[in-house]
Amino acid sequence: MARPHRPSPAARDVTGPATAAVPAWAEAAVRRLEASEQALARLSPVVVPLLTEVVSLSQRLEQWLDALTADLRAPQGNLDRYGGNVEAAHGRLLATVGTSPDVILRRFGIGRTLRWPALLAFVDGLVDAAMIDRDVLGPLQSAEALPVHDPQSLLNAVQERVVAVGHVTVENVWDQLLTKLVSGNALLFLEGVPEALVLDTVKYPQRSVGRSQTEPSVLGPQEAFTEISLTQMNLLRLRIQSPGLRFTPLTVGNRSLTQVVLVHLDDVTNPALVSAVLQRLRTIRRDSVQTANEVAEYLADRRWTLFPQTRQTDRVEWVAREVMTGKVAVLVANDPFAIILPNTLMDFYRTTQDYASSFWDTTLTRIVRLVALFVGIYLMPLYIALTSVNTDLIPTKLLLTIAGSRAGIPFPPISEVIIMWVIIEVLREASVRLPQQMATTLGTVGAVVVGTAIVKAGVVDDIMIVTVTLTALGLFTSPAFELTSTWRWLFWGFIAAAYVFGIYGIVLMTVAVLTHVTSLENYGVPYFSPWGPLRVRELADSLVRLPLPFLTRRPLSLRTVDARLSHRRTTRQAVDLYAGQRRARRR
Amino acid sequence: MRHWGKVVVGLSLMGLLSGCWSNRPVERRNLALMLGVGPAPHHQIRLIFQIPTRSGLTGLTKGSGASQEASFYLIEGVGATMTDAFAQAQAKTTRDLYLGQVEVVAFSTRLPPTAFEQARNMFSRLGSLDKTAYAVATPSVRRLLALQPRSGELPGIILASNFGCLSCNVEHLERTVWDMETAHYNRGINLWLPLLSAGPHGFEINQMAVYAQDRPVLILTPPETQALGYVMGLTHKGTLTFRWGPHWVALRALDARPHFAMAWKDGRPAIAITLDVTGSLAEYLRGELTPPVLKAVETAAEKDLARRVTAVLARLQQAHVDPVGFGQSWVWFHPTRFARLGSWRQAFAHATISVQVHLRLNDIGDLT
Repeated sequence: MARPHRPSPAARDVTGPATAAVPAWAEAAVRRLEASEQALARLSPVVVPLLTEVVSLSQRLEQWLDALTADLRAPQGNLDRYGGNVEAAHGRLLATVGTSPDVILRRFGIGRTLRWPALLAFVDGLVDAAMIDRDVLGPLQSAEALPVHDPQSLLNAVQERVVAVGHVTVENVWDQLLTKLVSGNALLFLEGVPEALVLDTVKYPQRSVGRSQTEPSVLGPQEAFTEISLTQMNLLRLRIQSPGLRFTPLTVGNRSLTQVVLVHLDDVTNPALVSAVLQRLRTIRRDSVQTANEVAEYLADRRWTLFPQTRQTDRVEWVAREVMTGKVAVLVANDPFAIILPNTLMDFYRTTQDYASSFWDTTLTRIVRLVALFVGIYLMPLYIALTSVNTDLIPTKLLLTIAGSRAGIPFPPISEVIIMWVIIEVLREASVRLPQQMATTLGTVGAVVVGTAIVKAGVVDDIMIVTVTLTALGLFTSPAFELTSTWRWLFWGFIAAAYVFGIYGIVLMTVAVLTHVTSLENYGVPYFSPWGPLRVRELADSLVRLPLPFLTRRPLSLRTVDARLSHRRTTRQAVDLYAGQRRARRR
Repeated sequence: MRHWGKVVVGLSLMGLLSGCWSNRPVERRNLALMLGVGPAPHHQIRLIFQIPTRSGLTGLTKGSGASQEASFYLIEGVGATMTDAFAQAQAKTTRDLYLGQVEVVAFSTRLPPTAFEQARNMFSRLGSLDKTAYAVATPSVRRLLALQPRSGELPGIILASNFGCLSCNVEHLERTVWDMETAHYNRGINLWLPLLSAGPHGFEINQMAVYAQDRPVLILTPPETQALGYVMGLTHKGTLTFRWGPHWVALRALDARPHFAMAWKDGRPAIAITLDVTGSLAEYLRGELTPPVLKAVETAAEKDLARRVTAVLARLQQAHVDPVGFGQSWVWFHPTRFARLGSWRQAFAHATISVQVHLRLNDIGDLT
């Protein structure tokens, strides 16, 4: 609705009694003012903030253009490079990242008396503030006798004599400068110098090195990775003090620019494996990479298989052990879980504790894991098959016990399984999401509901409770988290096969799973090794573990450069050693 | 697309070959634990199924003993053939009469040979029937199947435990449906079944019924069964009581290892049986037990045992039946001569049988 026209005070002044003396330009101005006033009156309240925004953007555009103009006017004018104008750099930074409150742009003068214009840019929180004050700003502001006659000399003087930062590089490409800035470096721009100093003042906020929560171990080292790549590399370097340890950094994620580090032992790992993994890493085309799994899914040979091909762990010593075996690890910044590959099925059943405790203990534990796996996969399908299809195969007394237990239950066994498994999965998911204290309560409630109430209600029979409990325990004994979902999926396949075909179906399903597992390969490593293909020597560290002195070779399927895990002295070395000892005794 | 076609064809074949869709939960089946075959009027066959009741099943589950309610009930069917009798019994219940868990199949000793032949023939072809079910003979099928043990347990379970336990009885008289088959098709052996009867205190299993031509021709007494058990390797906890002078001497825990030697002498089979028997001296009240006395006791026991075994074998010869399987051994060692024999039963009836017993007393101290 149009507002009624009211002449503005200015217009009234102009169009007052002295109208005859008003020049034409003034009248034109008045008309434009009136037109503007009418236009403004028609504007809705929504449009006004938009206009404000347009004005703001125009101002930023002006700054941006000024900065670009300054860069273009530089001796080697280039829009992509810093041209030596501190004000222009300030404007450009302000127009790009400067609007963020954590980006600090500090203009100051270098030299106690010189006051040469300079600009320091850094991201607050990602840099060591004490370092900025003590090692950068302080020395710069109190520096004397700086050669300002020549830009290169000034740059060299600042880099070599003034700035007290360990790692300093020179850069002038804006894309690189901005990337370095947001990754925690401080940028120092000097007036007249067409290059900026990149000062390594990175100090990421990080938690302390803690214990592994996902793979606890009674014995052995307890340290777990943090989210910071540098810390991850340091922790690994502490455990592998070999000069052959190589860290190959890459950046993935077009926008997140996440650092990914490939770890391998140069004198052990198969070079073809390293290059293959590097190649796969370079094919990652995503805007953002926030978790290790987002990288891992690009590294798998077979993407649709249920069986995991990469193992993720936050245990430092496990990554070190696997790298020493001849595998490669991929560290992903911002995720404490390192990716290890290639893996066999057996690798997912090995843990740190297997090597931190005696081989008797390890062997027993591995057998228990295998039995638990079989219980988890087969117990419930066998229950279905034997109580519904192949009832003649079950011992009479057991069948009668089951029949007695099932008397009055309204559902067939298959429905009971579905009911119970849904309850188990819901409880599991809820306990994972809830805080620890609540999870304990939930577990108690679940036990009461599942264990007692549902039986008393006559929905499920007693034996089903026992079966479901053993199944759930069996399926969750897998030491690697990645495998739990695999077995849970396959469990339903077995249940369906048992329901339709009985024991025959279970056998068919087993054959199908075995066929699939034996057909899998991961970077040329057979997934079912050492059983398929059979590698007798490697059976020493499979279902059983022999004492460590017997484990002398790396897995054959990894095709490592150095196949031996333990090196015996050659005759020549032994003679030299003996001679050395004799000389020492004589002295 | 062709790949999916193969998958579909494969799954269909698997489904067809598996005999699937026989999915029927256990609670929807009538689990017959004992099955009885007896005579019925007008030359018919009576089939009796013993089915556990719900209280019988839950009593088993909860581990409780005898309950007020019966732990089983019977379903009967009578017909001219086994199939008719089965169909009639099935018509009396709404659930599937399931024979896959039958523990004991009881045959009446009064069953006509034709009916016995029918039953044996049907059981050999009945896929769902477990061929390891125990087979017994009984004077009265209905009385046997109706007997409720005092413990309240299911009779089929008690009997299965009894037959399945090697050291639970004096004689381990275990026969299965499968044994009936082998005896039927083997010319050198006669079928025998344990005689199971319902006594006032429960089941009594200490006799043997020997069959010839689908009918029981000889029912051995308990001492005869025990004596024959030594020869057949069935007696493991035998006792022997004999009079030695004015006193009784008792041996117990007798266990025998039989050895046979077969020969052809004077135009007839000559069977030499050697029994290596061990046991313990349970009662001896005559005086001091010295090594010579012990040897004398052993010698006396050997003679007595040899006499008993010879007597029972003579009775078998009189009845022209060979449940031990001497003829089977004869087939193995002299197949051509056996083929020329014609009837092993006749040959066995005229065979010369000698029994030699070597008895050694292992224990003369406390009874264990």
